[in-house]
Amino acid sequence: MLSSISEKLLPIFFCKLVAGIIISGCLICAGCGVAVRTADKGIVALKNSRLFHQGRHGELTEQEKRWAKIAWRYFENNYQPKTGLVNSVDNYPSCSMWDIADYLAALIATHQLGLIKRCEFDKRLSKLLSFLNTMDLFWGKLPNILYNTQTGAMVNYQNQPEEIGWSAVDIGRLLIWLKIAKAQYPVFAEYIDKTILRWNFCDILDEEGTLYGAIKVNGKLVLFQEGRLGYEEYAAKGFQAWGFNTKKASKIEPYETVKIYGIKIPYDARDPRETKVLTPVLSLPFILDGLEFNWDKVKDVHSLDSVHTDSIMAHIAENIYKVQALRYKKEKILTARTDHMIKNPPFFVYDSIFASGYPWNTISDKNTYIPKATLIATKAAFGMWALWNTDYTDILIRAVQCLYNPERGWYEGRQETTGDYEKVITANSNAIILEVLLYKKQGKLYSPKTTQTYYDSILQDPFKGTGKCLPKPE
Amino acid sequence: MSIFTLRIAQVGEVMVIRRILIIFILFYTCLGCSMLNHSISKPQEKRNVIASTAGTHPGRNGPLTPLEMNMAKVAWRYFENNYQPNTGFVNSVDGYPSTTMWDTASYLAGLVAAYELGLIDKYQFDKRMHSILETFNKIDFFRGELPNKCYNTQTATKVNYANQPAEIGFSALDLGRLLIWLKIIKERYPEFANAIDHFVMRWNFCHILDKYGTMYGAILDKKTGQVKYVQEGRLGYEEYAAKGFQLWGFDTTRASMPEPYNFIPIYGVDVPYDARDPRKTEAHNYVVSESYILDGIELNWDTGYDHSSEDITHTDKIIANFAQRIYKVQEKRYLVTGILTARTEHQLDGPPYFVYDTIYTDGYPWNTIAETGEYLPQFASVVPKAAIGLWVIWKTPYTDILFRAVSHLYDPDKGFYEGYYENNGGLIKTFTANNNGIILEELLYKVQGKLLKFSGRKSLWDKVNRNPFIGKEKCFPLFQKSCCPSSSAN
Repeated sequence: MLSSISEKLLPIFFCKLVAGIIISGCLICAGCGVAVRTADKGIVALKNSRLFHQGRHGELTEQEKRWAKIAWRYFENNYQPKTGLVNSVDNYPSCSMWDIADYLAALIATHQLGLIKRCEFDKRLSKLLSFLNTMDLFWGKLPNILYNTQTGAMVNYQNQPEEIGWSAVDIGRLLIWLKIAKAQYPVFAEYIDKTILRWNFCDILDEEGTLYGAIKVNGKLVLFQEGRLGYEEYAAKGFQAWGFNTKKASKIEPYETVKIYGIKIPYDARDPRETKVLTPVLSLPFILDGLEFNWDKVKDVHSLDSVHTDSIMAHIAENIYKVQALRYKKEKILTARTDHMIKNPPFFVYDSIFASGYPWNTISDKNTYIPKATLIATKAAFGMWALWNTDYTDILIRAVQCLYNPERGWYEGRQETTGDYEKVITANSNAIILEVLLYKKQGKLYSPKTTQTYYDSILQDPFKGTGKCLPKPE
Repeated sequence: MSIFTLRIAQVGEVMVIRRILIIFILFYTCLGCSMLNHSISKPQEKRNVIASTAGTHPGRNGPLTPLEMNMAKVAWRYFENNYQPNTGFVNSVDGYPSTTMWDTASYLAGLVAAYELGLIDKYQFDKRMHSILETFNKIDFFRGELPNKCYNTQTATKVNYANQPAEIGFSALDLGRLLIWLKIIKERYPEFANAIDHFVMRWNFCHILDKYGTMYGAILDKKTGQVKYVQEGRLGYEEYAAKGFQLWGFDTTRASMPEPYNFIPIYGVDVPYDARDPRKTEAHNYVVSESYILDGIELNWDTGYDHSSEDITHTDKIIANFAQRIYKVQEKRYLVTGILTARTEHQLDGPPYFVYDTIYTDGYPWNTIAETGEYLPQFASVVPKAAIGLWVIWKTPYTDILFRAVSHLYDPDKGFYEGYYENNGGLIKTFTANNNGIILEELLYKVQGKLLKFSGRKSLWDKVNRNPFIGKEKCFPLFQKSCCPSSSAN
């Protein structure tokens, strides 16, 4: 089924390409007058055209700037000056590496959007890097799953001091954003490199490029393959960005497909009844891949944004968008689904397109069916709005545009069953809204520099960085 | 003991009210129609060829071979061993003196087959028939309405699942199957028609069918002990049981509709399943072979109103089409994975004693679950009643292999084993009336084709049902439209 992707998408690309040329052509004509300025305008217009940017693109409107400011409020309110960290949930002083990546994304976006001054940015990023360069590591190897944002100590799920393991998916997202930060702010490259060079990669990736998480069971380290279709491939891109081989993790196999409204939706074929690991199909990993990588291969830093060189992920993302839009078209149920938090137990749900055998299944991590926890997830609605410039996403954004507390940030979403707001406020949702707005302004967020940095010098030195399973220099 | 969870499970101890078809199901229905034509053409063509060259009905035709006759004899051993002369009932599980109306119907099927195949003579047949008919006309009903879910086979008293005197409800699926067999016997043997009609005339139909033709079972609320009538039956069993009521003149419009259903593609075969969501209703939507096989051999996938068509045409086209898919996907699984597959619900010889060993249920293909929904892949089995059913209806190299796999799966003194485990090949060391009864009727099908043979004779029931002064209080067919069980008022 995936071989047909390019054929299916080609006409769309082609149309957009043609449209882009026409639009830019028109602008060139419209700009008649001073010849030099015309040419200039033409270039600007071409740069802004669909040739280079899919979905929404352009300077932020006043309303969108307000949206960004509201999102940034979250990171102001939840900043912990002692550690430089930000709480993962409003007023809850704990965070994971995923949450740190969210904060980093939010910080970069806010600065790039001109909402904070350079020195404010510098102060915050320096503080954060300093934390990453000094934090305790799980068994001295890798970042612990959770840290207390007030004390900086490794903690368990009750936010009590304990080292409990690591998450390859969380670390993968952090690696993506450290790489983006490095490209956008070369002056910090050295300190960013140093945070990563502290880590030991021997157990998190194997020779075949499979990702492993770790947990501590009765004082022993238990490694387990981590990641399921979607987040697995997304996180793998972070490791790839730093030169690691992620061959197996990056493959979408093993997968099966299920047809919903005639649209083929691939899902991870590792059976949750056997493995006890759920395999929900969610929007977020595909949205993040779109915003950050334009669904390109990690190595691809040159292709036009209208071409997606990771065509498999692009195709899955397209289908995940389509099936949600179709659900609205056929059943008139506004749909923007992903994993998110809720106010009441179990606090976290997989609000999925497909999971455990059922379409539109909303389940806890124990596989309990909780349909009332279904949301139009704010972050998913924003993500789809940015990546697909359609009538449907116009409607989605109208459904979530007022879902905020101006003092605290954006809410998690709107309940499908009641229409009420789900008023949990998280770093994740607010960070993704900022990412989305930055994407609107800049397009693909990942644009690494080829300049050599401290990291490369260590990799190339046969006497340094040994015993940590760092990648071989190219 | 939990042979009884068998059909009760279809009731599901939950409120299951048939939902109005929503647009999205209609959409799938349309989708289904086009797929229907597409994928039925192949298997049917094949079968028609077989039918026209080798016999008058689909699948295997002709007299039993000595091997097959021996199988019939072994299966009949079960009914010799477990016969209760005081009541005429037969135990549903070897040595356990309790039964349901479903298992009693399987016994009647076994009895007719044993007689028709010459395993017993008219003297034995009549003795057994008189005995059970007398019991039928004597037993206490649940609240005086309908036969209770379980009876003690030694005393013919109403019992609960622990075989203790109690009334616990009725099952529309069990009674539907019983009605099919009462009809088959009545049409074949006019000497018993009157007693059979009297038994059915004792029934009160007001709560089991509503005016839309939806079937209901009766259960007792776990907390309050109050009786509740809940929609019973899911795709396959629902349509099969509905035909029992159809054969006795009732309207079963809604129960007979395959909707709501969806398709799940498995090995390229679109397998139909009931779209009522098990997460919401807590009743499983299992897809198994059994109801399609029984519908095939007893009724030739014809509607209950079809008294005349040839056995090579099937007037219940949708069920005939679905049955093809149920066969095809199991054959496909064997061709792709080498796993012999003949899936249906069956007993176990240890806890939880009963599983739905399915082609698809609750979201997963080849899912084997307990009534609770617990995933128990270790109990997936090849089950003789399903294997022989597939063998007799589909004459293919695959069913030849299935036949080899189960034709000797018996204890010569006790009957056929319930099955053998798919993974380790070990036996399920239990014997049931349902397995052995169905094996007997499947063998009879080879010889005779569609087991329901209409005689055209009039009966007491027909006369009663033309009389507007009889049967109003029991909601006989003439009064079905004016009846409306409280439960369906919703």
